[in-house]
Amino acid sequence: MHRVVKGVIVAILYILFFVVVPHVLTRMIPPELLTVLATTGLNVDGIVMSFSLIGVALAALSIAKSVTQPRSVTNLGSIILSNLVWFYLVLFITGLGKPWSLGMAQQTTTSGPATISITLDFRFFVALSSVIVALQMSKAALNHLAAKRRIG
Amino acid sequence: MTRSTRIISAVTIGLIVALIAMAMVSVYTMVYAFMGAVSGGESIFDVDLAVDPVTGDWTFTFRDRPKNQGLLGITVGIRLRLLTTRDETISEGTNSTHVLPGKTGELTVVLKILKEDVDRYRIETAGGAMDIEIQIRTLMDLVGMSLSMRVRGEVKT
Repeated sequence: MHRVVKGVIVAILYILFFVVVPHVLTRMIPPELLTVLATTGLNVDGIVMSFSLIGVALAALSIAKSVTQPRSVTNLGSIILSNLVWFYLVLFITGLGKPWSLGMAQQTTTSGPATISITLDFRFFVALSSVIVALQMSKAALNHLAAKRRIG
Repeated sequence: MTRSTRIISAVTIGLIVALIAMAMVSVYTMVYAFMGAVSGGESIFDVDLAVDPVTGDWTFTFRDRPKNQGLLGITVGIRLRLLTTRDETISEGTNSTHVLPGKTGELTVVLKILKEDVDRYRIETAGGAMDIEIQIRTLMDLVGMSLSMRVRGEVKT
């Protein structure tokens, strides 16, 4: 399959998965559940918006990657950026919408005389993801150098 | 593609598959283990309060029987703290146990309050607060979740 066609198909899939599906799913959530989620500090609209931005960024990078030559700096840059966006997505999911928590998410809610706090510790998955991202970026750099060497 | 990039590709694919599989299995285990740990009838714990007839010291005994309905072994930890109305710690205790998949564990935490503390903090009349922390870890304790609650109220003897 032609590189550009493949890039456009991947971009459409990103838009479908990160923009269309989250919007459709939030419309299916009962309003009562949304009210309960709001009391825990979980901003569903904010999460859907972030997913949409991530989807658009990944789609744009996929197209940028497909229309540029493998030896170009733009191609290498789009591959590296796309890996960083994926890593941000891992941080976003494991932090329950708070990527700066680095895999240690906490939600607190107060109900009557009780204060309830839930903490999720997914730092191991964040560490493993960073290894994967580093390997992917090394691979992209090696491929870029090999492509340049072939031309040179 | 060079030999080195082929090796990196294979390692990366292996790590991605392992990451997805571990994430799914551990989240499933934690959710079901958590439900098993907190679904002991009306309350999370069975609580007994005994007052020593000679010294007048109070002894609270908290018992939990966490069920592991997940796919991996879990470590369940409980930390309890009795506080005064001014958030000063009167007594605290912790305990943890490892529960294999499909099994039920047993946890007991004992909190002792001396008679002089009961009188000093006027626990029977002024009440107090209690911090409850339930922690569940799985995947060789690499991932986990915890639930912390602070409940204010009175002690009913």
